[in-house]
Amino acid sequence: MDGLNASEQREFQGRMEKKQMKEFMTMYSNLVQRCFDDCVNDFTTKSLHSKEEGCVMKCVDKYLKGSERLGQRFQEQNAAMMQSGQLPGR
Amino acid sequence: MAEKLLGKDAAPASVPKPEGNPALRMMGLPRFKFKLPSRNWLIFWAITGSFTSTLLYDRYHKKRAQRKWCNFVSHLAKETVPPTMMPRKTTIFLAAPPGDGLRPARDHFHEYIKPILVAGGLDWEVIEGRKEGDVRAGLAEKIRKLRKRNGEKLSQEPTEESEEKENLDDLLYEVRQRSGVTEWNGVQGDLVLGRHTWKEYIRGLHEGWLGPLDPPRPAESPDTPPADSSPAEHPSSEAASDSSPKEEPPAPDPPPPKPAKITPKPPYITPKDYPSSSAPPSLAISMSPSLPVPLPHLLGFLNTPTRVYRFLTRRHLADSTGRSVAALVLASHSRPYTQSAELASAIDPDFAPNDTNTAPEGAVTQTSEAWEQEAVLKKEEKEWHKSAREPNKDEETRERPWREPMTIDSRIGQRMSQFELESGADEEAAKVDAEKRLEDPSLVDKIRKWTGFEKQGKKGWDMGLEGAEDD
Repeated sequence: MDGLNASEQREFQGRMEKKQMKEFMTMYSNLVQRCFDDCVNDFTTKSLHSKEEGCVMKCVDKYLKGSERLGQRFQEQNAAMMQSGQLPGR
Repeated sequence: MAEKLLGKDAAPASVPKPEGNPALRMMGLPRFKFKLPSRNWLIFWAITGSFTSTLLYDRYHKKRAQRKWCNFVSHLAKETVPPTMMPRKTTIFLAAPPGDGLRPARDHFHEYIKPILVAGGLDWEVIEGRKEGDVRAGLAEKIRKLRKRNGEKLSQEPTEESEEKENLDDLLYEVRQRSGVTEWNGVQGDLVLGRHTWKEYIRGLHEGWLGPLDPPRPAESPDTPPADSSPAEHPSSEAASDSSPKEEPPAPDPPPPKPAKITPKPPYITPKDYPSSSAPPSLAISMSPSLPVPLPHLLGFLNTPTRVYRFLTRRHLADSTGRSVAALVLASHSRPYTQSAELASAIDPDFAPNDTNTAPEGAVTQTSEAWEQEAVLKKEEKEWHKSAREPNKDEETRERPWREPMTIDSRIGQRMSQFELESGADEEAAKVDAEKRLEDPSLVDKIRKWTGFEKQGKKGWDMGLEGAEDD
């Protein structure tokens, strides 16, 4: 990263942003796909039933909290790796 | 075997009918002769059959007992935990039983304890001991770390060897604090497997809380108690430790272990220095409750009958272990250990005369009162391999917490507590289990499923969503 000049830095930033955006969108569409498949199962009306709505809320909650927890653990492991210079637990 | 035994009607007493069953004969089937198998075969089948059926019966009921306690705690696994909180983490203490390796203790944990912890949605960490003293060292180290975290300072520079591991743990702790991840806000709990581990556990608790934070100096002469090396940390202890060692007899029976290169780390404090050391300020009013769990472990060829009997009655063990582990998982109730004079006569008759001689001044008053902790799982000690009781050879400086009597300081003893099930829990567990068993598929359903003739349930779009009714 240090050996880059200004334009390359910008290019790098741009690419990173794009990548992050892409990752976020993948996660989002995954979330939507999963929760839709699992919860929405009545196509006789265009509105969501209360049952379905509750299910969707719970599903999204579960997914987000799960990924939050996962992210925390990854951060911790990352910090431990930076510290020791190797995989933790070795 | 069954047909052969059932064929009583073909007893040789009646006149032999050469024709046999006319219908079968007309069909061209050979004539079957039913008779009892020979004496030897009968003996063989009787022994094999009774052993097998006893075993199957036992394992069936063992599974049921375990399921009962699993069901009893399973509601805890469905509770939600905020994403920034770590799940409850109990500490499991395992040590290789005397005269054996770590495997039996581990197996016992996997077989009888783990299923219930898993059903209750618990996380755990294990402090394992391969040698006598490992558990003691591990627990003491853990407590010392906690004390350092609570702001106590070492009086000398930390040595190089232990820094690597400490840094990693501290780092993890720091990262968690920074990102707002909190520890579980309830009781954590300790599970101690077996009397030998229990003895080490008690030692470890005392060493961690009453001992100094600085490691003992390696070139120390055996007659200076290690507590003296840390007068800077416990200024008040200096006067007390000066006076008490003088009154000791010149040759106390537990020789203070010299620090050696091998594991475990040498103890930072010996039992005779407990009364003279001061408790750290971070010692809470009550400690995390503990749960001693029996580890039946019998070695030796001549004990085969007892071992076979135990092998065939594991159901009782599974039930009692499950019961106590369920108390730990629920953590709804714990009681302090009792302390009474009546117990004193029952405990350690072999060591009673020794006690009065070797105990320092402060402990003399305590010999009359005995702690319940000392009697916990006392029965197991009789079954120990003799190597646990043999004294050290001349050159050996191994620490021997298993054969030495337990020393309990009242500051620690009063703070300990034990997990207990509330009264009526057994009936409750039986009820929950009966309800759960009603939901089980019947035998017919199981066979149907196995053979592929399942009844067609409702289609996916007809079914309600599970758990969606409550809103």
